[in-house]
Amino acid sequence: MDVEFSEQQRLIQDSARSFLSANFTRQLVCDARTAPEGCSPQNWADMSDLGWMAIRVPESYDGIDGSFVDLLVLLEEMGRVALPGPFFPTAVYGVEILRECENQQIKEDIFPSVASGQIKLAVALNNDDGEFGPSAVCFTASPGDNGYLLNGASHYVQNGHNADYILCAARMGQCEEPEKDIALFRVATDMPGLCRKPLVTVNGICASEVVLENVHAGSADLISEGMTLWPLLEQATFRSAVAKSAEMVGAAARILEIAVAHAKERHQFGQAIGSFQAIQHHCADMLTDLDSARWMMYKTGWLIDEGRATRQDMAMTKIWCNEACRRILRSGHQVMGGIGYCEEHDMPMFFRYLRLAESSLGGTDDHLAVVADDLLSEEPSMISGNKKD
Amino acid sequence: MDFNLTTTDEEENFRVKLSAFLDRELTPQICRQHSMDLGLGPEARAFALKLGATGWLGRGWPEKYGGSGGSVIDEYILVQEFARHEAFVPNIVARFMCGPVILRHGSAEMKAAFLPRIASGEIEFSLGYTEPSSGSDLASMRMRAVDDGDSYIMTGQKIFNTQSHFADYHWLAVRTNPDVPRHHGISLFVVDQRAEGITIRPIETLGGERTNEVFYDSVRVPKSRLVGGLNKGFYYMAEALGYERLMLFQAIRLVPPFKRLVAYTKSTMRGGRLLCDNPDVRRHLAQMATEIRIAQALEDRAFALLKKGNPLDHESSLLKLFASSMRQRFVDAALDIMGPAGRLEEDSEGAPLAGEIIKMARASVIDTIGGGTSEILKSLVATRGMGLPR
Ligand SMILES: Cc1cc2nc3c(=O)[nH]c(=O)nc-3n(C[C@H](O)[C@H](O)[C@H](O)COP(=O)(O)OP(=O)(O)OC[C@H]3O[C@@H](n4cnc5c(N)ncnc54)[C@H](O)[C@@H]3O)c2cc1C
Repeated sequence: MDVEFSEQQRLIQDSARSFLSANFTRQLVCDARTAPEGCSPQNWADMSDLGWMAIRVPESYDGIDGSFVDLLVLLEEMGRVALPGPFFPTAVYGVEILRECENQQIKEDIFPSVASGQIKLAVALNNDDGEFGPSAVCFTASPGDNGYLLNGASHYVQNGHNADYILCAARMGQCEEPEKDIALFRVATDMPGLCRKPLVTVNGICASEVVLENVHAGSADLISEGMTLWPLLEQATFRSAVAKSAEMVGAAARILEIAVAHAKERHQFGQAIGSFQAIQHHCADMLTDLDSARWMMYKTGWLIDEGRATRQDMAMTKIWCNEACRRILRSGHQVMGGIGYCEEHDMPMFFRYLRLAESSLGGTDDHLAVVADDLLSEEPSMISGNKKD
Repeated sequence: MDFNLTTTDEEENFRVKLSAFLDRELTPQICRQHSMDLGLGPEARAFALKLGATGWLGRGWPEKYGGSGGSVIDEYILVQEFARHEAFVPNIVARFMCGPVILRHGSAEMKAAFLPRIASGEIEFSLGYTEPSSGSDLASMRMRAVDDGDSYIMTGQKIFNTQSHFADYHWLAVRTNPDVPRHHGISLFVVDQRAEGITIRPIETLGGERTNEVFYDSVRVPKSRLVGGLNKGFYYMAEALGYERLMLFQAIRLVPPFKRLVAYTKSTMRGGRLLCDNPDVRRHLAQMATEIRIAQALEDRAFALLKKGNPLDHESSLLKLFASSMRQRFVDAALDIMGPAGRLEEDSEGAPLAGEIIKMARASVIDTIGGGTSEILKSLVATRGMGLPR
């Protein structure tokens, strides 16, 4: 592993930083929080012009086919401005799932329009309430006219309200073993019988409940099914948890920068507060947490690109990012004092962002359980990493 | 050793009657209006007066000043019973932070002018200490009061004065003598919060409460409004902060939300079983319950000291340190238990426990900062509590 960013990664970092810092002020992020679209059409178009939606889309489908680490570099920058909106569910989770699937037709239908920013995605496998696994799949599919009828409810779908398509996992009811009984469907959100209720999270309207009542899916909407499906979905989900960690690291890095700048500028008792050991220790702890979280995250990303990341690696990454970012958030607030508690400051924006992110794609306890399972099982599950198309 | 604080029949009787009163009179609307965010609405004002009329708000104060006798234990009962009912004592700043200082140090005239109206539930105060460049280091405050015959003329800015938009009086610390060492030139005043020349600008906070910037432009304040001795304000402020640290948290306040959380774990399925059957969840719950109990023991001990007539020193700082970080651990654990659903806000479809945990998570950020930061309090415990060198 080369611990320096490549030329390409540096380019991504620079262009992302200048675009994001120029376009996503705190005010804009806070306004976006209460707006269901999460990101203005102009911002979305600009981001797609920069090629961001295409970053993980394979080249053969008009994509850039960047490495997973490239994606992490971009996401870290997005975390630095607490970027709201549908980028993550569309260009990360949605794309990672589709990359795994063999269905060429679906890829031809969806990938180019994702890459060009024309469509947005959401993913509904489980309720995303910490219960993850084939037995917690929330929809059912039964044979209907020319295809299937989908039913069920997912209580919490990131970006469900914004998506043009939701990738829905469903039980087919053909086999007792959940793992073998799953199919993945593409469901257009304008289908009759599909109902979405936006949810107000601590970080604004960024998820919704999705209810399907006899929603028709044609055989062309069946993306994949069978024994091999669940492991692929799991793989994409754990990779997305690593991606979520990158966003968190970006936010935490900004918190530390803000806190250190404040510690140098703010004077009390006739000296910069940064000269007090209590403050120095907060800052040193924050840097230790940040560095450990960041390099664990990039190392795991690199393992993913090498095709060597285990489920444990990915779970450990999210565990540590959750824990480290929680402490960084607390210490950041401490160093800022009262001013960091005012909504006019950046800290509350990061509070909201991180408090949601720490629960997305698996909370700490969920991932600890995964690590324990794999650690104690005879044959640790070796999920292979990046699958080349 | 005796941890039973409510020893006398009279005290126990008071607790029972107060509790029944609260069961009967408190409404969710009143509780909300008394929590710091909204400020006193008409219903909360009416409730405060009703409570005042019972004489209970004045428990612990001499009858001469509108009190109704009793001891510090009655004050303890008052605070605890309200907390148990998930409410705040009305006009808590006046009653528990400013009032006690007036009682100890105020002139006869000032006591007569303010204490009976505090005891009757009529008036609230707002603490006016912090300035933009003086937070932890209050002795550096700059706002000036200039002597002008029988009054002072005050000009300057305060920040984070939380009750100022609804309080009747401003408990204002200002520099009255710029030519002496910093601690010796500050005085405390009681100023009409609506006086001419005062401008109040709102500040929105993460926790949803409102706090304020308060600007003074040549505000005239009569000398009769000076609290205690001239230039002794810093010491009174420290004393009031001691009461504040003691009164800010009551562990029992966490008991009702904790019980609701436990009920939630007993009725919510995840991973094919109830949350309460998950060993991680059980461990979190047991830890939370333990810490709440520990905080109660610390509180009881502090009041037992007060009851014996020992003034508190570092003990109130220690109590605040423990209780504030405990509430933060409480929300961290609760959010871990609840997952993404725990991040849904009150106004959302499907928010479990009506969003109370995420709201508490936002609001508890300030616990380790307001009323003295944890860093400052730890230094106080180290130096005053254990004699470590400064
Ligand atoms: C919502 C809210 C409500 C409030 N209500 C009121 C109110 O009603 N009335 C009022 O007067 N004030 C009020 N305050 C002000 C509050 O008391 C101060 O915010 C608090 O005392 C900290 O001061 P500061 O914000 O200036 O932080 P600072 O003093 O600037 O502290 C910044 C950091 O430096 C650290 N630090 C400072 N000095 C030292 C030192 N010597 N050693 C080690 N570390 C140090 C602090 O611990 C903190 O971590 C309120 C504040 C808030 C946010």
